[in-house]
Amino acid sequence: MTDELDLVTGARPEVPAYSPTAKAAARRQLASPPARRRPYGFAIAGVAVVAGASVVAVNVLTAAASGTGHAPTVAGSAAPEPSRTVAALPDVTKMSASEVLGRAAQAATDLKPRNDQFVKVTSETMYSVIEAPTGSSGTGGPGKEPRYLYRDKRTIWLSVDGSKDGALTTEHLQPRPYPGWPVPKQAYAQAGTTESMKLPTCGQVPDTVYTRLERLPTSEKGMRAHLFAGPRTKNPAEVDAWTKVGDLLRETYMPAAQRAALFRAAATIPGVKVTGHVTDAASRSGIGVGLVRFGIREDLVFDAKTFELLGERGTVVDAKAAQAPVGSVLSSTAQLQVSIVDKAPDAPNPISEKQKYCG
Amino acid sequence: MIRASLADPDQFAGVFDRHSDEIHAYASRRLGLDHGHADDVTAETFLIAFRKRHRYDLTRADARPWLYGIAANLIAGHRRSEVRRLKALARTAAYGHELHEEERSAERASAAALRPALAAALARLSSAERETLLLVAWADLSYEETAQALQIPVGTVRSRIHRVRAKLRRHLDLPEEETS
Repeated sequence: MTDELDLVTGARPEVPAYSPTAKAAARRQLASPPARRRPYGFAIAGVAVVAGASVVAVNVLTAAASGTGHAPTVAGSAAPEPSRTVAALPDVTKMSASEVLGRAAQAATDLKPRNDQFVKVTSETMYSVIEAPTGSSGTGGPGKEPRYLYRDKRTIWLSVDGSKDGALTTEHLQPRPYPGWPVPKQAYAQAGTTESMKLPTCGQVPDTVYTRLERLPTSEKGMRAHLFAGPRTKNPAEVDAWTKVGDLLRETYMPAAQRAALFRAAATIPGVKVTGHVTDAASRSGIGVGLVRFGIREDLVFDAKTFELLGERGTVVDAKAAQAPVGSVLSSTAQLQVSIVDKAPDAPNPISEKQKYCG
Repeated sequence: MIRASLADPDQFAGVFDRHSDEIHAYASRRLGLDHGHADDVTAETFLIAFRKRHRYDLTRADARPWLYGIAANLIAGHRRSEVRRLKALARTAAYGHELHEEERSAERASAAALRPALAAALARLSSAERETLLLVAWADLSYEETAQALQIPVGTVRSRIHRVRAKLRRHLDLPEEETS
């Protein structure tokens, strides 16, 4: 007999596709900053891998973890002349993506955290903000949407097995201009302030906690399949795969075997190329390896000597697609330190909406 | 994939890329295509999601119920326009093809699929009932996902659907039968 629900389902109206103009406008807005709190999220793998608390330090790299702004190991950091590398260093400009990523795979280390510990990651980040025009409706023309690059220094504590609440401390740094746009006055307001908050687990274990990452494939092939396995989007598959690489590394600590597999698998993603010398958010010089996405070349930055991951960087290569001049840097991060600690600091719970979003 | 939302603004765009068409389609079904309501709802849904993502990231394995929940709240803000539209659709039966421009475009938006009698029945549901029903019927959410989206217990979803069935049966003049 007639089922009322089927009737309603069967009457689901056909609707035309989301108009590309409206969609692009909506998408652009997402570069807007959250009203108060900075996004919980960002950052990438690091230079100095140190172990805190009870774990042996594995690999202390460039001495001063927090951006003294120079990378002692990399020639040419002062003069960004790509062909002038010190003889002992590999000529990175001639290396292929698979060579660079292969070296990165070899450089993978393991801190072997215990399940009851925390991964602590300190990073410096810069991302673009395109604020919604205050008049609300539609797509304001240029001059109506303030744009700038906001910068933070972040320290995040995330439970190794996802069972405990984490914490995030964000120190807001001075903003920088988005190419061609004045920095709006309000963008300076937060600079110099620091905020902390608890990151409640809400009883859920994120995919990128150490104990989950530990279960990912350790072979290049298996990891490659994992990278390409995600839900299909309208993006080219290799773009999604590259995005996933970044997602797995950003503010996480990936076990050595999986990390090595990840870098090897990343090298097999079509279109991934070496850029040569680039710098990270802490002005450390390195080698960029990346893929062009929406007119922006999204690089992972590796130390040119040790092949440790330094950070991420987004550089405009197609002015039209990216809506910024070619060569401008719209995002840049530096992972300054990764360590294992026994506790996360106490911090205020941000959550009036806790009940709402912790189901 | 949720990790995308953990990431920077550029990365959050991945969540948008994956789900915006679906959310937009749902908003269009609910609100029609005129006046740009569906576009507004979609844009606003992702803006809100973006701002709340640090909380979301830690809590959910799938973004869809969360996004639909945000969209549902926003659609509720357009309740009057939705009901007006449903009533306009319901009137197409009475007025045949002599529609006012507004009604005509409303009809176009529904691409003829929504029968007048059904539109009338939907217009008579409470907004909570309509929301629950359409998340299940038009957004393909499970009862559990609907419960998540609306922040209500799954039992409430079941009882609402049960009540909605009875109402629809009554309003659509379907034969009484034992409830499933």
